[in-house]
Amino acid sequence: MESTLLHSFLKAGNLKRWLAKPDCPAVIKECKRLFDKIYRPKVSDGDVSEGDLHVSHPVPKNIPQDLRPLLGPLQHQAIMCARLRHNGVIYTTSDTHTGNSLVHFYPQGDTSSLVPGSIKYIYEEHGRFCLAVQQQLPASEIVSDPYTIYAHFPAKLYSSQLSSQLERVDIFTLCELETFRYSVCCSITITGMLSCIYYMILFSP
Amino acid sequence: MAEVMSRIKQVINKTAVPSWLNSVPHNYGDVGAGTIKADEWRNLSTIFLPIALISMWGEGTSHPSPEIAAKFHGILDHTMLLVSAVTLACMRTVIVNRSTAYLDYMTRYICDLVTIHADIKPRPNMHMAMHIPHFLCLFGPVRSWWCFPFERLIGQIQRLLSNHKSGI
Repeated sequence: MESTLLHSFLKAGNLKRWLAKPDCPAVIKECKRLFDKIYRPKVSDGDVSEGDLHVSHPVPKNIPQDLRPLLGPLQHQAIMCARLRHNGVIYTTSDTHTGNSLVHFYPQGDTSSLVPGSIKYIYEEHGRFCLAVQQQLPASEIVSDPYTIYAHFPAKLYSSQLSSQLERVDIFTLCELETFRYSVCCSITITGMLSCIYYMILFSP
Repeated sequence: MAEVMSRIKQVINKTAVPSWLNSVPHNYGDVGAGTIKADEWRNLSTIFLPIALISMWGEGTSHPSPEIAAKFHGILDHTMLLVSAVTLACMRTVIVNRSTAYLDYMTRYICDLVTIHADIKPRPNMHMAMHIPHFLCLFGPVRSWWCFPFERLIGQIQRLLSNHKSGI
């Protein structure tokens, strides 16, 4: 059975390589389109190219009061959406899906520190989509963090409160910094970086 | 034990995770939950289990006596060796330091197993786990050569409609 699986896997690899080449016949590409319709998963994670954005239901809306400082006083309406797909990862506002709204980002673009936050709004600015993110506030200094002694378990204690100030985060600087969050009690939250994210943090300039 | 399972279930149900993460059944541990798959085991052991155990037995928790506290702390530290090893092994980039750290964690985990859990006998998996650093150096990150693509293919083949006759 293993040899059959390996054989199928190699055949599929060769077929994918052929499809990617420019001299691949149009009829084969058409077959791929038909097969994709039947067999491809509903949410694709691999075929969205770098920087490709997929927005659902873009509608200009009145800018909420707390978002105005980021957009300027002259602008009254902006295209806002509930979810955004970037590099195959779906980001949403916290009202839409809490888990998909959790991200790690660099506050004020400072790449020396990475903090967790929650996306409150997704809006368009100068033709690009930006995120308005609320930063997770640090935990009280009197609370000791039992997670820090485990160097390779990427979790840390934070306050369960979010900053009232919104911060503008460019989707292209955010990349795939996704997070999990667990509330221990009403005042303490554990946030951690999911494994696929952790490497990016280590190697970011 | 019931308290530990209850905390693990609580963590599974209350943790906010992205929708792409293959989470664990909310009734994990119940008879009706069924068996969980390899990817779910990985997420359970690298996300939910450490959160639950550290919150119960980690620094700052209270226990009836110092002996009990020391025992639970020992079990926690031992479990975290495995958690750290799995986390390092599943990373998308391989560097020598990570491979060395993995070997260190896994060696300590296997050595301490007999002391911490006297009733558990060594398994062949433990031997195989010691070869992973070598494979990481030879073939790169595990994501390039782990068996999940094959598992997905098996799943697709199993879902194909058939009339239970071979070759038709």
